[in-house]
Amino acid sequence: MGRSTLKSTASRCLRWLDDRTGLLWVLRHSLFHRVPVSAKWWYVFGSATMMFFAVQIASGIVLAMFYAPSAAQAYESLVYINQQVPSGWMLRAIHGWSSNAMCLMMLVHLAQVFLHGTYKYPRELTWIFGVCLCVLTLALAFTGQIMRWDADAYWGLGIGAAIVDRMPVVGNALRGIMLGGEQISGATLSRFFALHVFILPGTTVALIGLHLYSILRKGISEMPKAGEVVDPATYDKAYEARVHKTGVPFYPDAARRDMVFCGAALIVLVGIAAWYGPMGPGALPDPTIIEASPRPDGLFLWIFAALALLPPSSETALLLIGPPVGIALLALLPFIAPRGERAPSRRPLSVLSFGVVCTGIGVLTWLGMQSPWSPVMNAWTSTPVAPEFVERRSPLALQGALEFQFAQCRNCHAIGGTGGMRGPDLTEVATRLSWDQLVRQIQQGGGNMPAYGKTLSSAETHALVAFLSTLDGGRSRAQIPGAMESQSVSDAMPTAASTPLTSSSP
Amino acid sequence: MIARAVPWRRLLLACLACLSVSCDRLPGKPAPPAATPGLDVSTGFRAFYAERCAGCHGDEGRYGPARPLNAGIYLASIPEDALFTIVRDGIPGTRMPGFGGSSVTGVSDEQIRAFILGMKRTWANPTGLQSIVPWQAGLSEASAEHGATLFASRCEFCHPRAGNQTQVAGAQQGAVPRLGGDVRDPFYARLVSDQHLRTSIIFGRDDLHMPSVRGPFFTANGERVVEELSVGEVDALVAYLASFRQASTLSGRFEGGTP
Ligand code: HEC
Ligand code: HEC
Ligand code: HEC
Repeated sequence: MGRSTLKSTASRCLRWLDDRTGLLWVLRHSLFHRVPVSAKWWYVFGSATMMFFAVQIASGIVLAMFYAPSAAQAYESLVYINQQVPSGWMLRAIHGWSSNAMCLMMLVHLAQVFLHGTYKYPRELTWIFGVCLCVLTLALAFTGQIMRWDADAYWGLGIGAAIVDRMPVVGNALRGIMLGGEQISGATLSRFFALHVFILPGTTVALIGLHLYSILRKGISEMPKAGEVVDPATYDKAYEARVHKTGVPFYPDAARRDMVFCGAALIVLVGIAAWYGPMGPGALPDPTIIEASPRPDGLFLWIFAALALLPPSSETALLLIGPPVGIALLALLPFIAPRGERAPSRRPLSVLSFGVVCTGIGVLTWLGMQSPWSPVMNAWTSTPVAPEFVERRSPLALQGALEFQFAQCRNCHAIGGTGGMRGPDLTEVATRLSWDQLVRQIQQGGGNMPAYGKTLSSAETHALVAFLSTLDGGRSRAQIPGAMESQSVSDAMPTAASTPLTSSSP
Repeated sequence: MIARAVPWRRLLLACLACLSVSCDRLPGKPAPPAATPGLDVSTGFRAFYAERCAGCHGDEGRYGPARPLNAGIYLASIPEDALFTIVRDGIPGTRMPGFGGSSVTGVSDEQIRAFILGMKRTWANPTGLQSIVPWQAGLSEASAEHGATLFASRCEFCHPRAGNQTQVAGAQQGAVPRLGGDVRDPFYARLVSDQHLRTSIIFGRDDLHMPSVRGPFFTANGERVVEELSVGEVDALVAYLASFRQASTLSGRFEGGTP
C-alpha cells in the first residue's frame, strides 16, 4: 500500500465523518472566526482557566482509578498513590495545584471581564454562564478538598453542614441530604465523591460549552476605550463592521498568545508541583498528631474568618442571605448596567467596589490565617476530662461528662483550659448560669452554638446539665452525693415532659 | 519554521523522559507517613489511644468519665471478640462511639486488632487474680427483688438516693469510705447499658474508689463486709438497677427532691 492510497483513505474517512457530523464546519467557524485586533494579552486568562480544567479532568480520571472513596480506605489509598504508584505523588500534586491555578485564573478572568465592562450588551448570557462556572469551580475545589478526608476536610464539612442547617424550614432535611445521615460519616464521603467526580464536572463541561458557544455567537469584545460608549441600538452593527474590516482570524493570530501563555502556565504548574509536592492528606487519620488545628484551603479561609467574626445575632441572616444575594447580583450585573462606558477609567464606582471586595477578602483571609477560632475537631475523643472534673461526681454527672464529649461540645468548649476555643471555657459555667439557663442554652443554642433541642433526649440533656452544674470552679465541694441534682427545680420539668423520653437501653 | 519545530519537540520529549525517570528524586515527593502502620508496637497503641479514647476513658486509661481501660484484670477478662466489636461498632444507644470503617476516622479492622493487641500487651495483667464472675452475662433468671435486698445490704450505704443521704456522724477522716452518687436515678439508668452496670459491679472503678465484686461493701449502718458477690448476685443487682429505667422521672422524688 502506497503512501498516497493511505492518504486518500484517510481523507475519505475524514470526509465521511465531516459529512455525518459537520465537524469541519464547526471547526472552521470556531478556529478561524474573526476576532478584534485589539484582543491581546488581557484575553488569555479564560483560555488558561480552561486549560487547567482540562488538566484537572485528565489527572482526575487517573486519580479516580486509584482512589478509594470509603472512609476506611481513603487515607490509605492516598498514601498508596503518593508512595507506590509511579509518579503518583506528582499526579496528586498536579491535580491539587492545578485546582488552585484554575481558581486563580478564573478569578483573574472574572476581574478582567468586570473591569473592562465586557459583561455589558450583548454579552449578558456569556457573563451569566461565566458566573455559574465560577460557582461550579469553587464547588469543585471545595468538594475536592473533602476527598482528602483529613481534618481539613472534616472541618470544611462541619462548617458547610452548620450553614445549611441554619436555613429555615428545610435546613435540617438539607443537612441530612448533604451528609447522608445525621453526622459526618462514610456516607458523606461517597456523596461528595459522586459530586466531585460526576455531577460537578459534568455540569461544568456542559456550561463551558454554552459559555464558548455564546462567545462565538456574539464575538470577543474589544479592548475598552474611554469615550467609546456601548449603545444597544448601534453596537452590533458597528462591532461587526469593525471586526470585518480590521479583525484577524482567531487561529493563529489570537490563539498563539493563548498557547504561549498556557504553555508557560503549564511549565510553572509542573515546576510548583515538583517542588512543593501534593497537598495532604493531613492530620485526622494520623494518630500521632493530636489537636491539629484544621484549616480550610486558602481559597475558603476568608469565609472561615467571616464566620468567626460576624456578630452572633446577624450571623444567620448574613450567612443565608449574603452569598445567594451576592451571586445573584453578580449574575444580574449586565441587566443592572447594560450600556455606557466600558473603560475602567470612566467607571470609578465599579473600580472602587472591586477594590473594596478584594481588600475585604484579602483582610479576611489574613485574619483566617491568624485565627485560633476553629473548633478542635478531634477534641471529643482525644482531650481528656481532667480528673478533678471526674472525681466526686455522681454517676449521672459522669454520663453528662460523656455526653459532653460524645455530642462534641468539647470541640468548641474548653474545660480546665483544654478543648476547643470556639465557645467560652466552661470551667466555671455553673457560677454564671443556673440549671434552667443551662437547659435553655443547650436546647436553643444561640450565637455560634448549634441548638441541641432536637438531637438530645431528655435523659441526655438532664445528664449534661447535671455535669455542667458541677463546674463551679471548686467553690462548692459537696457534689457528691446528690448536691447538684437538688438544684433542679420544677422549671426543669418541661424538659423532661416536652422531649420524648427515649429509653437508651440497648 | 519546520526546522525549528523539530528540536523543540525533541527537547520536550527529553524533558518528559527526565521527569518520569527522576520523578522520585524531586523535592516535592512526600516522605512516607510514619505513624499509621505498626500499631502493635506500644507507641502506636498509645497514639491511637490518645487520639481516640483518652477523651472519655481518661488520660493513660484512668480517671475518665467512662470506665478505666488501664485495668489489668478487666482487660484480661473481657472476651477478645466482644472488645473488638465494641471498638469497631460502639455500643448503640450509649455514648460509646464506634471507630470502624463506617465512622469518620474509619479505622480498618486490622488496625483495631493491632490496637487491642497493643492495649492488652501494655495494660492487661493476666497474672492478677481473675474474677470468678465472667464479664459476659449468663442466662440465669435474675430477680430485681433479690437485687433490691442485696443493694440495701451492700451498696446503699455508699449509694444513697439523691438528696437522701445522711452523713456518717462522727466518722473520722480516712475511716469513712468515699461515697458514690445515686445509681438509681432513672436518667442514669436510661443512659447506660446493662453491660455497663455489670462491668461496673464486677470490676469496680479503683480510680474512683468503687469496689469490685470482692468488696469491701458496707451494710446499711456502715459495717464493713468483705465477701465476694456471686454470679447470681451480680445478675440480680444489674436487674435491680436496670429496672429504674422504667421509673417515672416526673415524681418530685427524683428531680425536685431537695432535702
Ligand atoms: C460549634 C461550636 C459549639 C458547639 C459544638 C457547642 N457550643 Fe456551646 N457555645 C458555643 C458558642 C460560640 C457559645 C457562645 C454563645 C454566645 O455567643 O451567646 C456557646 C455557649 C455555651 C454555653 C453558655 C456559656 C456561657 O458562659 O454563657 C453553654 C453552657 C454551652 N455553650 C454548652 C454547650 C454544650 C453542652 C454543648 C454540647 C451539647 C455545646 N455547648 C456545643 C459554641 C459551641
Ligand atoms: C465519646 C466517649 C467515648 C470514647 C471516645 C470512647 N469510649 Fe469507650 N465507652 C464510652 C462509654 C460511655 C461506655 C459505656 C457504654 C455503656 O455500655 O453504657 C464505653 C464503653 C467501652 C467499653 C466497654 C466497657 C464494658 O462495659 O465492659 C470498652 C471496651 C471501650 N469503651 C473501649 C473504648 C476504646 C478502646 C476507645 C478508643 C478507641 C473508646 N472506648 C472510646 C465512651 C467512650
Ligand atoms: C465504698 C463505697 C461503695 C460501695 C460499697 C459501692 N459503691 Fe458503687 N461507686 C462508688 C463510687 C465512689 C463510685 C464512683 C462514681 C461516683 O462517685 O458516684 C461508684 C460507682 C458505681 C456505679 C457507676 C459506675 C459508672 O461509671 O457509671 C455503679 C453502677 C455502682 N457504683 C454500683 C454499685 C453497686 C451495685 C454496689 C453494691 C454491690 C456498689 N456500687 C457499692 C462507691 C461505692
